[in-house]
This record gives sequence, structure tokens and C-alpha cells, in this order.
Amino acid sequence: MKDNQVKSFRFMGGVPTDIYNGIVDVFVTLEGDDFEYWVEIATPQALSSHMEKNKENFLEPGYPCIIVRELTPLVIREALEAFAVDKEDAFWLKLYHLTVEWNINDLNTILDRQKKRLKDEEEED
Amino acid sequence: MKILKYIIFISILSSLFLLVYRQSDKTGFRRWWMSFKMAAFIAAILAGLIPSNVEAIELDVPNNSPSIETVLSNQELDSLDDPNSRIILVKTGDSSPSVPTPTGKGQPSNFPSGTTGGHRTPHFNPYRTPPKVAGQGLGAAANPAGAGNGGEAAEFDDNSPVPEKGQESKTFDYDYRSNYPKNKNKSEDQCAIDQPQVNESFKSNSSLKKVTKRALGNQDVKREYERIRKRIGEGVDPMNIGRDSTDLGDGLTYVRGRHGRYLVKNDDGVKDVVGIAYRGSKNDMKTLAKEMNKSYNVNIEPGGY
Repeated sequence: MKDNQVKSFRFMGGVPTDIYNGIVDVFVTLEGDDFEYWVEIATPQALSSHMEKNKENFLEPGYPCIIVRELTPLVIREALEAFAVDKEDAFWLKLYHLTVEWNINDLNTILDRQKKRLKDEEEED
Repeated sequence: MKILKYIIFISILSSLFLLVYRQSDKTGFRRWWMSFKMAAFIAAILAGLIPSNVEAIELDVPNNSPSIETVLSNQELDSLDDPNSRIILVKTGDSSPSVPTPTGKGQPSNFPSGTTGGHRTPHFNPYRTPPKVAGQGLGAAANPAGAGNGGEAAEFDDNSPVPEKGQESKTFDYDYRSNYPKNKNKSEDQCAIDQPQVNESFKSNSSLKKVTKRALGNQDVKREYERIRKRIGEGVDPMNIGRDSTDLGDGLTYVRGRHGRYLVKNDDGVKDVVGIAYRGSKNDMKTLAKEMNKSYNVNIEPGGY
């Protein structure tokens, strides 16, 4: 079992111009998996600037993004490796990647499944 | 027709001059000159010799000049009939502008003064409740227009329908879509002249045919794109649309929507949407990047790390 399973990553939409204040789109490839996962990576300052610019008290709802201190290849790789831990089968990376595919029906299906499980647990008690 | 205008101008000028001259508290040549300047300016506007959509008027007038204040007030009311004109009137003897300013910050507001059918009504957005003000130090919380939601996230509002041509809100649209009122009284041709042109060359790009078809086949992307296009058409800089858009160089901007990615080319002020793709489709994004790298002097998908 390998701990480090991020094979490579590449930016989509150009390289970050400000490593402390920016958002990048990243394609990630894992070891032994040719598939490219897509995630958005942001710095706290970029999110803060976004709220400031739009005079918002919160971030508009949106797909989740990985938050890093700075947008350098080293830090991005470090974050991606934490999201793609092999023993969890890269659960978090896959979660962040897949949210764009979900629609409300998918969510309701999962919610129904949870409701059913909770009901079954109540009946067992 | 022009001669008639000048005759009207002269007659208004002379009567206004006398009126202002009598009211003026200045003396000598300065009294004469200020009165003439003011009278000429107002007369020219009233005679239609110069356009009246003046951004700010600050006139050096005597404090006790009720006649001038009356003229300006009428002008202000007239200007409210024309939603395209923006006027900030400064009352004599008072330094505060006659548009609302956000409390707590004391800065001039970008919000236009509202009007419905020529009557001035205080604006409030029924769909937005202003946040509770915990303290006056919070600038966003003290926004009188309830526009705490701010400027840039219109394209993220999935529930908001895209307004069709001819449809218009009955109240003024203070929100993120535009800081300026809509051109209610203008024909479509006139609007096209005033608003920046938005081209959509991606639609005719045969290399991106499938990418475009798939992107616009996604209803979320389609709605988002319509809003983005509308905002670009309103003159919003593509860099200020979406969440942290990227300037790729060569006049190209990479706009990050919630559902899609959009490439907008700025060609001497003319905005051209040169590519769009659904962000959930890796292959389409790569095709788009490849095509853009080929067509422009940019590197959208740089080497791996």
C-alpha cells in the first residue's frame, strides 16, 4: 500500500499569478489510475477577497474546493496527497471531484437511504 | 430648427441672467461673470443645445438663490424619466449628494435613484432582506439597498430565471446585474449602440462544435452562460465575473462559473466569447484548452507537476 499516490497534476486555466490570492483548476492523476480527477484549489485570501469584492458575508453556495495556504506546486501536491490517501481509496479527492456530477435526485436518493437506515435502527432499538 | 433653439436659448439666457444677477451676493465683474456662466449653462440645457445627462453638477451659486434650486429640481425630475441618465445634484448650501449613501462608510453609492413611471419611490428589493446591523462599523451590513449579496454571483443563482427579451422587472434592478438602470425608453437598436457588443464566435468554431453542443446541452451551463453574457453586455469586466477569473494574456480571460468555464476575448473593447465548456467534462475542457492554445498566444493547460 502506497501512502503517496498522487502521480502528477496539471493546471487548467493557466498557472496561478498570485500564489497567495488565487483559485486554480487542477487535474490530478493517481498512481495506477489513468483517470484525471478535477478539483478546484483556492487560498483563503482569494475567498476572502471574493466576499469583500462582492460585499458578501458568506461565500455563495458552490462546489467545494481544496483550500491551501499558497498555490505552489509543493503545497498543492501536499494537499492533494492528503485528499488522496490510499487507505481511504482517495475518498476525499473523489468526493470533491464528483460533486459536480450530482443533482438533487442523487442527493434525495442518498437521503432516502439514510432515512431508511435510521428508521431500521429505531425499530431495532 | 437650430435657429429656433438659439432663439429660445437667448431668451432663456437673458431672463435667467437677470434673475441670477439680482439674487447674487457677489460684487463687480465676478457677479456678472458667475451669473452669466450659470445662466448660459442652464439655458443651453433647457434649449437642448447640450445633453442633460451630466454626471455631477456643482455650481458656484449664492446660498440664497431659490430660483436656481427650483430649476435644478425640475431638471432632476426630468432626468428621472430617462433611466439612462445619471445625475447627482448638489443642493446649494449642502454638501451631501441627493442619492442614498451607505451608512457607516460615508462613501458615494453606485446605486441609482429609483423611479417607477416617472414617480420617485424609495427602492427596496423584496427578495432580499438586509442583514441585521450589529454595529455601524460593518460596511456590508449597513447597505441600505439590501444588496449585501453584492455584485458578482449572478451567474451562480440557479433559481433565478434568465429574463427574456422584452421582459422587465417592475422595480428597479439594484442587484448585481447592473449598477445602472435599464434602458426602458430606448429601442433595441439604441440599446445596442450604448451597450458593449458581445460576440459569440465559439458558436461558429467548427473545432469546438461538440464541446459547445455538450456545454449548452447542460441546462445549468446554459443558464449560467446566459447570465454571464448578459453581464458582459452590460459592460462588466469578465475579470469581475465568476469566482476569481484568470487573465491569460493576449486579451483572453478564463471565467470560472459554477458549472462551466468560459473564455472571453477582449478585442479593442469588443468582447467575444471564444469558448465554453462544461467543467464536469474533462475531455471537453482539454479540447477547449488545446484549441485556445492553438488559436491564441496563451497556455491554458501548462505542463504537469
